[in-house]
Amino acid sequence: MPKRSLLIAAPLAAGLAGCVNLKTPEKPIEINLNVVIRQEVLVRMQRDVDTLINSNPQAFPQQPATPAKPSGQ
Amino acid sequence: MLRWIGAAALVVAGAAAAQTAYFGARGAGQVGERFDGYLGYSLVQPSPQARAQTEAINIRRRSLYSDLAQRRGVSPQEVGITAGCTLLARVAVGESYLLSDGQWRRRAAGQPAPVPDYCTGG
Repeated sequence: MPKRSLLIAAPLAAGLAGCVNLKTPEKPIEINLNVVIRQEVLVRMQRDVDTLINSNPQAFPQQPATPAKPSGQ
Repeated sequence: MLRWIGAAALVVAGAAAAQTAYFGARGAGQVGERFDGYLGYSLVQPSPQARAQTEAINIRRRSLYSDLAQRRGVSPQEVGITAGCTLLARVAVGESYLLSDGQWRRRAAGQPAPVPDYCTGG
């Protein structure tokens, strides 16, 4: 039930309906394989990380949107 | 300085060609995005060429994550996981991916991109 911790946030969000300023929990999210991340960090870093990804195509290569069709059919 | 610029130009020019094996292995489901922001290998091992290209990408990522982490006062692991959210959202149909439960899966046609719950904040 890894969803449990997030389900706790749902009623909170419902209570704050109409309020954009949703406060994220301070408690770290424990995901498996001994990996822990703070929700606050996840939210705060998202924009920085997206910029990082978009400005470093060498490290985050994306194939062209329309790859060449296989010859034949 | 000039040599540096020349090398950079070469790297950019060769980028598409240098990652062909990686793209092939990724399309075949042998290489895929992991939840921690790095690439990994599913059960089927890719060619040595694809492996080398994948490792090179991971080395770049590690350096970028560490650098950003230092500037923002968070851990490189946290940066990696945050990046993983964006990168998992990019997983195309037919590609493999690894979530935090340690299971490699392949995105099937009609399935949404495998973005973990923690990415969306609930």
